[in-house]
Amino acid sequence: MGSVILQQTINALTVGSIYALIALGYTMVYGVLRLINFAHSELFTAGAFIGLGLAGALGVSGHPFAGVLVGVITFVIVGLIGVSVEIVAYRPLRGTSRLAPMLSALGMAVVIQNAVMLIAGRRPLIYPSFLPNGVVEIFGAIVTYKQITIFAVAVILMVGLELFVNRTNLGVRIRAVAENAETASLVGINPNTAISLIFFIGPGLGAVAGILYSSFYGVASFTMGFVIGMKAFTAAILGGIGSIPGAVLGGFLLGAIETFATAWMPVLTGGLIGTEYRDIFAFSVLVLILLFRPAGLLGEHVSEETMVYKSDF
Amino acid sequence: MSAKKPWCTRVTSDAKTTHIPWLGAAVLLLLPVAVLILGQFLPTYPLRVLDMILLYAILGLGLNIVVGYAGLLDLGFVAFYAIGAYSWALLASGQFDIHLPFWLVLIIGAGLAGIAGILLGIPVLRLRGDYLAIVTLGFGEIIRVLMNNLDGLTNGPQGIARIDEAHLFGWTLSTPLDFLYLLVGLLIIAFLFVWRIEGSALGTALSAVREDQDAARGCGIDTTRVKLVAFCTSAMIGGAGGVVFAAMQRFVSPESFTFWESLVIVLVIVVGGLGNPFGAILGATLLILIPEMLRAWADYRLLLYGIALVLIILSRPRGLLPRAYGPSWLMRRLGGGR
Amino acid sequence: MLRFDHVTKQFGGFKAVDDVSFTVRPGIITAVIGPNGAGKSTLVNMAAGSYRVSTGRILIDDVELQALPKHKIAHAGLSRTYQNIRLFDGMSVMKNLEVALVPPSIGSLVSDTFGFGGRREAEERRERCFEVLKTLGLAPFAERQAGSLAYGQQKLVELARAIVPKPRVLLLDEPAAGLNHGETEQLKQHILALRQPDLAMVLIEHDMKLIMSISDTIIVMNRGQLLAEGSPADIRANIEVQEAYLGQPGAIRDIEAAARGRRNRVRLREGEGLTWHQP
Ligand SMILES: Nc1ncnc2c1ncn2[C@@H]1O[C@H](COP(=O)(O)OP(=O)(O)O)[C@@H](O)[C@H]1O
Ligand SMILES: [Mg+2]
Repeated sequence: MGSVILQQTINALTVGSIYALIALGYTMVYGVLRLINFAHSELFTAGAFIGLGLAGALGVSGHPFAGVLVGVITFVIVGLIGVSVEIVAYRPLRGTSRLAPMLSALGMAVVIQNAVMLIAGRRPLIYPSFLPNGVVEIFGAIVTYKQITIFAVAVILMVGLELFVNRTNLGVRIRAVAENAETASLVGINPNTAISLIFFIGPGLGAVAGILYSSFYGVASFTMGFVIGMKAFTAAILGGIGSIPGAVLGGFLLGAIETFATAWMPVLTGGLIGTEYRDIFAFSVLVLILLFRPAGLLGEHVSEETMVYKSDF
Repeated sequence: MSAKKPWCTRVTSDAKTTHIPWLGAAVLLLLPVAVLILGQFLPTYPLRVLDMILLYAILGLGLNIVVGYAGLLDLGFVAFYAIGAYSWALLASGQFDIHLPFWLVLIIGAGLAGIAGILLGIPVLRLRGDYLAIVTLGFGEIIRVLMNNLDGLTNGPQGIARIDEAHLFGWTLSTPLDFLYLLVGLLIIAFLFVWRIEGSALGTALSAVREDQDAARGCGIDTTRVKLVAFCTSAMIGGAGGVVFAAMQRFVSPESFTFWESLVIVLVIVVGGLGNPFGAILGATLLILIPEMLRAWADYRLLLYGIALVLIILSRPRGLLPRAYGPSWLMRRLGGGR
Repeated sequence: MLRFDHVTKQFGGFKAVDDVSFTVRPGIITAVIGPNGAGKSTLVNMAAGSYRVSTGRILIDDVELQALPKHKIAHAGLSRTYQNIRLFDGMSVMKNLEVALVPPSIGSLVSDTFGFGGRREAEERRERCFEVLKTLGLAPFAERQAGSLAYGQQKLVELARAIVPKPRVLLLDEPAAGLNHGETEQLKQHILALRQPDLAMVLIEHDMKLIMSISDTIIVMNRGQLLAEGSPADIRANIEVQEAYLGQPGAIRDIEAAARGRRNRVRLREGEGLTWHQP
């Protein structure tokens, strides 16, 4: 029993790492632009396929060091795509309405998904593993090296991001713009630079998540972004959208909820609710949490009091 | 149309009521008549496309109440559509050997969707803007997953075939042309309904909610309830649309009710012009016609579709027909007012 | 009649309003003055339900407002304007006013919408709005988009929106801020015309000339506390006495300077503006 729970915890950390990495991209963009970047999930997919293409082109695969190389290059490529998407499809719409950029993002999602489909084909592709093989047993639970690597990569990237945002000059600018773009521009920070940076980092992280995800499951398909993206966004909301630690917390929490619910629901309900409901546990939990904490777990509750305060001062 | 219909009155700046601007009414009537005449000459396939345009225009009008008037982004509209469709599929088919009449199911489907709208609305309408978007999106997915997995009820992914032919008071609806009549009728009803909402106290309250929710509450508007009414009416229109869809296809499966479908309906009203009933019609025309015209490009179709969308939104962020140029505006222009 | 009964509002550890009690009587104009940050707007926001009261009670006649949901406070007869205009920018001026008259119950809302007999009332509501627009000289703008009007006109539209439902309590939060001389003079006439036996009116202002000329009683606030209450003559004397006593001349001038500052739409922040009664 204990080892079963441990096993599930480990599985949860694995999925959670991936959700968290993707959720970071959503939350950062939302924090600055109040925009749900629907194209983000497709950049995750694009990342997986670009990684695949690179592995073929460079003639490397199946080796962890190849993985690092491919990961870095993919990060940069997808980051640049993210930056261009923002410049082309979102920037001209800034200040028009809330809906217009969101729909433009949806349009971009369609474009990217279909571009991937046209290049890589409709059928799912076998994915080479960039992750090391092997297993260790910890108190009766089987932990694969793949899982350990995924978790480690995610943690390294998240710690790196945290340091970047809090300790570097550029990071401070990003935060200033996220707090208040107007004030930031008054003190000489160009919001566009910060926004571009966010659209570089967010999709970059998403792309790495794409490689990790496909390596873990061994397949990649052009439609895989939608559901996982939606869940990652849910994770960002769970934690409190706009909050970087919140996205990480939300990602791991969602991973845990999903893993445990999927494992235990059939048992608890006598088979009435089976694993096929996996994809909707996330949303059910989201609805429940928002009922009690409308701003997510770590999110700052924007009550009318603060709204009035902001408009008055 | 009788001169007594309240939606035909308007207030001029000296607060006097004037009655129907006949020219405006005539112009408005011309459109459906033209569509019906056009329908007589079209072969089956284009006729089906025309039916789809009308159906999406109806759905767009329904969603417009929530998105266009109340300013709430609902990304799960397809759930209501699905509830309507499955109502017909379950209540008029061999599935359980129930065979209710079409008009009754139209009411039941709309009613069930309305109830679902309220049930969804109660927890989520407290949320601000974007959270609502993602929760409704999740709701749409939940409904789809349920349809996929409640095999005993819905047949799961195989869907339900052998659906009855619809009869409406002795009139059999079988060809696309039959449905064209039905859809034109329903579109007119939905149009007048939505237009009426726009001009009424409910419409005023919804606009206030959209513009500044806190100030609206300060003015005495029970925003939660008003939003619930909007959600419910919008869901009912979606449900009715679903019933017609199922009757038209005579086959339903969860595949028809993906997030993509919600998205298309949102795009219909955004491209057409939020909060403008004409916009829903124009948007539906474009969003159904463009992919049809791109059929020749097969695989590139969706890619081009996406690009077209982004271009339309970039060039007209407020839609092709802005809010202010709705039917009331047309009436004013053609009615000889100021 | 509006009554504040030992009302306190705390933001974290900071008391924006500190144990304030007073009564606003109908038929007269009660002015509330005090430097920026004194807690005047906070009073209004609490009465209107925008802020939750920390402790104490706010009552209209015998109805405790803090127990009501915000929209019911409006139905209880309270209207307010905002220090920073909050109109429904995208809607016409007429519609802005109609919002304040939307029927409260869902039943009447639905019957109004689908036209079973609600038509007469709808017509009456519109006539009422138009009448108010006419008295405030806004009739020519009835169909204009509220957000497109000049600042002064927007302030008037807000006033119109507040009086359309015939409130029993009217709270005006700096209605003259940002208005030019002529506009202020007009506003003064409108406010005086509003004075009627069954309306309790609260006027928060910095423009001392306006206040001294139209208010019947004045309440002075500072740092969340009620300093003084009395007739304009008393308060003037009182302020002068305090100035002399505290060795701080020019307090009234300062308040007026603040009003001028607002006229140029410079927003004063806490601690940035004038200080008053510093020990
Ligand atoms: N929502 C809020 N959150 C925190 N502090 C607030 C809030 N609203 C007002 N305050 C503080 O309360 C004090 C009184 O503000 P206010 O009532 O607006 O003053 P004024 O008399 O100028 O209208 C100020 O110091 C202000 O900073
Ligand atoms: Mg104030």
